[in-house]
Amino acid sequence: MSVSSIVVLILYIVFLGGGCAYTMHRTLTGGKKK
Amino acid sequence: MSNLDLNSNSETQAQAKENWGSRFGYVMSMIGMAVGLGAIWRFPMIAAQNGGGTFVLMFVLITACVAIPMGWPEIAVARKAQGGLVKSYEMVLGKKGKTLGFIYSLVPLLLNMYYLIVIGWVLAYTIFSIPGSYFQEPVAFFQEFQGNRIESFLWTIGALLITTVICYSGVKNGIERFCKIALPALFIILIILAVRICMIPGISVGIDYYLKPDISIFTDTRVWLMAGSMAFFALGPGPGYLHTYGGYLKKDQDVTFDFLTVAIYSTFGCVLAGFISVPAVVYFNLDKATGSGLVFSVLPKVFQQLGAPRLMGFAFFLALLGAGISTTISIMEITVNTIVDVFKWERKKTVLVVALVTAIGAIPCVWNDAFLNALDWVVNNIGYTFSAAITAVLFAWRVGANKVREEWMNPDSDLQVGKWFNPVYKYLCCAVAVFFCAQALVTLFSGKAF
Repeated sequence: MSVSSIVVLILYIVFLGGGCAYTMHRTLTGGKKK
Repeated sequence: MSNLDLNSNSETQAQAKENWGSRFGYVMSMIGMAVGLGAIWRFPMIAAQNGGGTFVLMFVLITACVAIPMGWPEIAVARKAQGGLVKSYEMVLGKKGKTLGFIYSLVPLLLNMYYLIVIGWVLAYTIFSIPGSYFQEPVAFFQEFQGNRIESFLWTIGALLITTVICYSGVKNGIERFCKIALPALFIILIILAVRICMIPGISVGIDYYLKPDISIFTDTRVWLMAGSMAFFALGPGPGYLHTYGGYLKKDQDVTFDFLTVAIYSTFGCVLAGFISVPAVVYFNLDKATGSGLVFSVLPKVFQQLGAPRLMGFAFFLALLGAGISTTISIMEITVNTIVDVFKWERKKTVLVVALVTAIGAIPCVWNDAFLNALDWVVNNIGYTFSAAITAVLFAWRVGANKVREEWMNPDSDLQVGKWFNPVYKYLCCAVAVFFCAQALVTLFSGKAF
């Protein structure tokens, strides 16, 4: 795999993966309204 | 009890507003609405044909900048009006709005007439995966299967029955309950399949194609258009998806943060689905231009290379079926919700009538490919595009972007959207929506539509 592909993959994992984990965590446990 | 009391009681029952049972259920149902065949089937197909990695980056960018700001007001107006399309537009435009909402609801009714045909194929392929019927000659098998119209219609009715049963059970006990199980299962299956495919020795050449951005493609307006239309409609602004599901929110439930969650999961679903098809198609040197047959005639060849093809095929088509059904129920729900609001019919009766009309409308779509293609073009390019544009212009310019943000979106929401939203909604979103309308009209009048 090329370096630029690895960079893009890391960006997807951080932003999309992290975004999914954070938003679902807020949906299930936190936030103002459950 | 007098007759009058009985009538008034039954009318109250018919009009009793349902709400989502939980925040998680609402978010899952919204993700189910967004992640359908478009995400798992159309996205990888278009990504494979339009430069892979560059297309994916464009898609993510347009989703963030245009699709999310366009979706927020549609959910927010429905929460404020405490109803779907009809009540939302009645609140904004008075009696004229009621007519507009009713016209919008015809778009999803027409859509389900042919969308369910493809879901019927997926249902058939899920079952065919058990004996592995299609693995010997995938292309010939698909052509023969597609050519048998009676069989195709029966599978369509099967998919319609599943959709009807879920809608008939209600919002909380049907749609929400189904999505709370189907959506997590869908993502688990997609992750397992994507990881398995990415473990094929030498697949990195395909992964490179899917991920590596090619700077030269960034100047290609045609690819921007493809990515734009995919992102624009993946989240469902326009003919009532967001209004309908937003109308089942309680008055103090969140709008902005939950839709952000939906957008992130929808994008994740698209990107994940791409990992299943695109690298494998490139690696096995299969035809990227296969079009709609990618899923039915190309992917079985990929599954054969992986070992346990029947299990892989079954898992994939089951995931696709879950995604498809979670979308068809949202499509049917728009029409049901509108009819209940306009004619005050009882919900269960309405579901059955809408199912019957859908089944009748599916007949010409199954037997006449030209009719199906024309209907598909009209629904996507006229129905979706114009409803999204009219809504955006109406809310941004007539109601006012600032009022929409301060009075509809932000109250009781976890995420407080700042003033940046006003110019983005007023200029960028409206311009993009109007541009797609103009493009549709040019295509229509140049005779290239269908």
